[in-house]
Amino acid sequence: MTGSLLDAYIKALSQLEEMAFQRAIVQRLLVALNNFQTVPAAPQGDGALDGHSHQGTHGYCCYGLKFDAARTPKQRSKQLVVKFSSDLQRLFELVPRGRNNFDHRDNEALMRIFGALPADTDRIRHVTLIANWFDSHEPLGTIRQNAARYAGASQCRWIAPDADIVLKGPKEFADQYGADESTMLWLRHGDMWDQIEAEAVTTDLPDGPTFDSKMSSAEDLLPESRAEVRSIADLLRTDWQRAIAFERHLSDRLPQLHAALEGGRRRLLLRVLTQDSTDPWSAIRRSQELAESVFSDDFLQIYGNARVRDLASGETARLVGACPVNWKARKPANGE
Amino acid sequence: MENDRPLERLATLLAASGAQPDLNPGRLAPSTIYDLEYRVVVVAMVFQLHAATDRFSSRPRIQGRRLKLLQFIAMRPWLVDVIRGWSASRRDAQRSLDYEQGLRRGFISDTMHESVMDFLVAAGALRREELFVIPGAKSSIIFDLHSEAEKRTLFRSEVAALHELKDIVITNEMLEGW
Repeated sequence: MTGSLLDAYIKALSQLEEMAFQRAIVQRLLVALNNFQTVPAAPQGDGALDGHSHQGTHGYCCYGLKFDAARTPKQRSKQLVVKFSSDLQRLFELVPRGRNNFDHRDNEALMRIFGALPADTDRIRHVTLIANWFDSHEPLGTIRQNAARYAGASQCRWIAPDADIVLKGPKEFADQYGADESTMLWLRHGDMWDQIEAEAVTTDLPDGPTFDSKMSSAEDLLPESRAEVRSIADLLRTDWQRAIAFERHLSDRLPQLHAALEGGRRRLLLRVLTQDSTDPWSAIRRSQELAESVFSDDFLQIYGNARVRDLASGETARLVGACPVNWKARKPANGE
Repeated sequence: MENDRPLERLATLLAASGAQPDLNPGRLAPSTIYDLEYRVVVVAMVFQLHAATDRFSSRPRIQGRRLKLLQFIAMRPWLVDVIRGWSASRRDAQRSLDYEQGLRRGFISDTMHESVMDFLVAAGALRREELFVIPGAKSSIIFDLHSEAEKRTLFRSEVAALHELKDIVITNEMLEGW
């Protein structure tokens, strides 16, 4: 593996926070370990385990600190200690009583995750705590001491009293589990939508008065609803900007998907134009629904439902902005 | 108001007001990057501005991959800065990854370019010779297109991008696929 890829992976990991970090770690473990089992937190908690492997004898807990530049390394170390000690307490099935005592409390989530209490030899023997920040050795001693205290107070039904507890930062994690291009792509994929949103705000809409004149015309046709029409115009304009930013992103980086977008756009127009002619407004009313259906073919599996809805909104707005959809006052019956 | 379906809401309001919809079937302009004639002109401009003279045959020639990358950027002039950054950081492995990934993936998967090249080769305008592209028996197509575009100062942003690209070092390593 090239040094550049590993370095870039470490950098990307260290910039992720909270669930994004956890998802990235779990995704890499799924690729690196063929016996890795993810533990979803929904619907009733993950029992302090984000995953396990080696027939349940290895457990993994993640913590993506939310970065706050104002926090000192000491404060961050404390955050790690608090979070991971809490996870260990749950694995040891303890709740604090006072400053130095603990009570037992069943970790019911672990029963659901493993199905039955393990034999002594099948208990968790290795716990890997993975954080997005590990620039200080301060948390090591405290977490180790806490683990020893918990082991002493626990019935150790799920975890062996002498289990290894290892803390890893992005570098240590990558050194052990490596990185690959698909992981990097996966990591960057999440950034893509943030970039598109940021770019959309400053994206220029195509020149020409068409969109604005259509909205002015709508305001004239609906004098009682001017404020609402303006609000609708703002939404359409924002959706259209996002569609342009997304299109540009595809064109620059994923030409084949751009071709799919272009094809989808043609199909959308065709569907809008061939809707039931007895109610000409129904095609426009249904355009979002039609767009979602059209773009699902190529984009649903890659980007998911929410993004397909965004894409459909943008392409629907484009129908107004780029001319195919317009409106006008009904002619008087006498044709004047 | 339904924020996620603004056009539906507007259509409902307009329908109630008695307005009439007006649908224009011919008004959705396709993206130029699927326009064969446009792509042919861009390839012609890249060839004219970036082909180097082969010292043995004295013919102009350009690596096929270089041609592909340059035409990809010429059609997207905003990517000139990206390739400039990639070029400048090519000895810094970590930084270069920030630039190269999207761009490399983009131009490598530009399959329409291969179709355009097939067309130009079939028309005799260009020929493929191992890794290079050289003029074909009817290369005047390429030269005429370029001089016509130049005479009429057409495709100014593409031409400007191609001139800027002359000053950017694009190594063979950058042109390699993964």
